[in-house]
Amino acid sequence: MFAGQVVFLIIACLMLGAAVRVVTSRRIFHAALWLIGSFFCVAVIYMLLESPFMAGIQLFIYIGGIAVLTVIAIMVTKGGMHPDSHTLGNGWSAAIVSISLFIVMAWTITQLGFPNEPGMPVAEEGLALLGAALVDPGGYLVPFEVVSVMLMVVLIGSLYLGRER
Amino acid sequence: MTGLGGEVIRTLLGAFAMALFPLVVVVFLIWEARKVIGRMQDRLGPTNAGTYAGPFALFQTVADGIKILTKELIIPTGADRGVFVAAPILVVTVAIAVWAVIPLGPTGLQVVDLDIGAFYVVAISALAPFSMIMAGWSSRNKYAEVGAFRAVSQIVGYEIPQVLALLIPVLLTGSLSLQDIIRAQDIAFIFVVPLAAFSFLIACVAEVGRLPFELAEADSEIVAGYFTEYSGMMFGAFYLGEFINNLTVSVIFSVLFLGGWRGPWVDQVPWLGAVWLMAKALLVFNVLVLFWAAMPRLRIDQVLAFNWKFMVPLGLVELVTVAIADKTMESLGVAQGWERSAGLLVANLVLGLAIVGVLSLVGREAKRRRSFRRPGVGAA
Repeated sequence: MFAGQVVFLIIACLMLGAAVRVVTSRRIFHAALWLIGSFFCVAVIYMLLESPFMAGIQLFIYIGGIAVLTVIAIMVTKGGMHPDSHTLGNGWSAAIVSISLFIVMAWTITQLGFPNEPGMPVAEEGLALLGAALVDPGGYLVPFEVVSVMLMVVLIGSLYLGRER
Repeated sequence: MTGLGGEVIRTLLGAFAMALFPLVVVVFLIWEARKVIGRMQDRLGPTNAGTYAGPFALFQTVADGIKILTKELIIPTGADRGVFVAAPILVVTVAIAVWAVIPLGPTGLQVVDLDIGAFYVVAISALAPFSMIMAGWSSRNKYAEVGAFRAVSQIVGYEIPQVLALLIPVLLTGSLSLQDIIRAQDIAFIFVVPLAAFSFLIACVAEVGRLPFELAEADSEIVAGYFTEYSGMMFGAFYLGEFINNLTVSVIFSVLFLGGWRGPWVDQVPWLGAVWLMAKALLVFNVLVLFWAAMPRLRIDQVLAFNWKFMVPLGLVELVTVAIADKTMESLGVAQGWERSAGLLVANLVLGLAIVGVLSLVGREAKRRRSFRRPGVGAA
């Protein structure tokens, strides 16, 4: 258990360090790269929690999806890829928003109360259970389908906006 | 050695051996690719005439590797040093990390049999475009930047048909574990769902940037693309990473569609599985090499249009068709064995014919419209 704690501490420190660098980097491209590092550390923590599927999702959605989108947005923004492009100096309002968001989340998490057991056994067929729950009418079928409809709307909307007129 | 310590050491040694494996194999694959391309172009390829490269110049790549180690590492003025140096490291790391889940044999010859194996491959590959972006951005060179732009738009696009095609073996097996997928292939999936195999292969060729999709490093247009500014072993890392990726997609294609380590006598001699897998992978790799030697390079707009207007719809239609055909047969009571495979094959062939029909109709329509708009041009 002790070795696991040490590894967790190291990963957590790396993650927080990367997160701090996201905010303090002067070049926006560096900030995007540090963000990827931070995402990767989260994936490692999921691996430590013996949940490889969540780790894979973290890599696939956050790094393969969100980080790629971020980088593409930087690439197509005028001057965004320029090595000397600096981030916008609107620090105070951003700080207020993020600190208040942090307070809300921290308060919510402390309200939850965590079980004290050292660790619950992982279900043998965890992945199959997850998949069944998503498409089972008694499970989360309706939210799942609503999300897919929403994604469809987003897709059509972006096509409409990007259409040549 | 007993207990936990012994197990940790065994795992580490296994991981180390597995990480070395693609590096060693690739040294000879580079030689093989050069020989094949040489023959295709009416040359001899590397020979041992006047050198010490061994029989058939087998160790030419080793000599090249030693030479490249002696070259100076030049970091251009104005380059972003940290990112510039990190990019080649990331390329090789990502290329090797995929090998953690590749099953070389029925038991033991695999670092870890994750129950999300196929998904792990996709998730790790998602890191690959970043090495190219990092290299292209940090070089501060316009050719490198154009190469990075091309690489990202191409890889992000072709990831979709690749994942859609990968879902089909997963769907037929009911598991994401690569071992389970191999065990389910009493008939290799390429004979059950040939369309999925086809689109997976095309998407893989685009993903590793092999001709005709070699846009990111098109040497007649943008020097060497995103790694224009690299020299010495850092250039070598990109070259190596590219070849490892070629080998990796060949191996993954063999695992998903050609039955992986399955072959005669594997039950008696487990390590023979590795031989079968590598033989199948070599076959696929040589298809890539033949593409490389025979194909012209496309334009970037053609590559992207081909993806979004053909590959993605094909992947979606194929996935839905296979799912419906499989469920229909299950409800008819044909859920196992060769009858199911035959049914899926028929569904695939019908779909393939339909696609060819639609394409020829669309092509004829486009041709008619062109000749109508510009009389005299299309008619000639």
